[in-house]
Amino acid sequence: MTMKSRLALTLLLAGLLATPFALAQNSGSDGHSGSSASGDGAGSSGGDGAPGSSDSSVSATEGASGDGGAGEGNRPIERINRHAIKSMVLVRQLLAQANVALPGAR
Amino acid sequence: MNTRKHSVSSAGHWLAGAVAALTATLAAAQPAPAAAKLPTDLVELVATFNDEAIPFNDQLVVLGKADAKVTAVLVFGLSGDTSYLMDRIFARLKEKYVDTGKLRLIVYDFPLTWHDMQALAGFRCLPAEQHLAAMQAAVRYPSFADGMKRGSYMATPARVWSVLKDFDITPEKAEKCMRNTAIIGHIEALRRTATNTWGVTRAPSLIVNDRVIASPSSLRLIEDVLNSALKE
Repeated sequence: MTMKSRLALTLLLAGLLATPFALAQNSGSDGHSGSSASGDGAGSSGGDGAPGSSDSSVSATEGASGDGGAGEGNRPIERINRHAIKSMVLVRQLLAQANVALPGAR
Repeated sequence: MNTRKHSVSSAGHWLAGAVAALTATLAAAQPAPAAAKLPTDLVELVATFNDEAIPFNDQLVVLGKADAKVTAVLVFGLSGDTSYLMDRIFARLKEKYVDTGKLRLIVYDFPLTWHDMQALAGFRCLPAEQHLAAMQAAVRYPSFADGMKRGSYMATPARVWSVLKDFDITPEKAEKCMRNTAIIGHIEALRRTATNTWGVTRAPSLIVNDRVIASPSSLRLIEDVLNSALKE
């Protein structure tokens, strides 16, 4: 085996090992599930007004906790997060009461 | 000799490219930064939030009979597409499926931006029986949502007041509701539940059983899905 072939094999193996790790790091390990889509979608149904896709900043409260983030100014965001966590239980109950079949969270 | 030189040089270029590729792969493997800093306009908005205990309507808008064969969720956002759906499709959908007892329809508020968070929080301070009417009024013309979103977050309450002035609420109370952490927390819970449960990031979307139609653009498309669900 030539030096070039050995190098190619080594780098190929290194790449194969690194790729799944890279994918795992970038695939929502923080509990998000794609909610931070950029807000530039113009829609598809003739809507000529405001775009119909989520702005990335709208999920800013997710995961906000009292031990980090942007400091004092972030406190209301943390309180919203706490309220949201409590309200999610109610929302799921209301959906279930209305006969909405709820699959497991993604 | 020339051949050897060429071979060494070629291997060198190849090696440099391969190292660059490996470096890029490993860089992609690095964890993302832990906490993103909030945008300046959001920090400014957040500074105006209050924690007052304000009673609000935390229920869902549910239309139709409890024993309808199919239940669907209409994810309602303040967008041009929702204006289109409510103007062109909603009345016929309601008449043909909800009013005939075939469909139970939940109109589910879903914020797309921090403008929407405030507007939808304001609507939650209306009596429950006025909630749907306020949401419908907000999308009667695409210009409302469009104009609101062209303005700053701070200017949202004044925009929303153009809708709420026709309902049973004072401007002072409306603004307090729009900036209340508990009410916004409830709107955020609706957003998270839809996103985590059905992967919804667009509004309008229609959810029938486990099928999600993002931006449904015609009654026929919706009817196909509903008729199929009714046959199951």
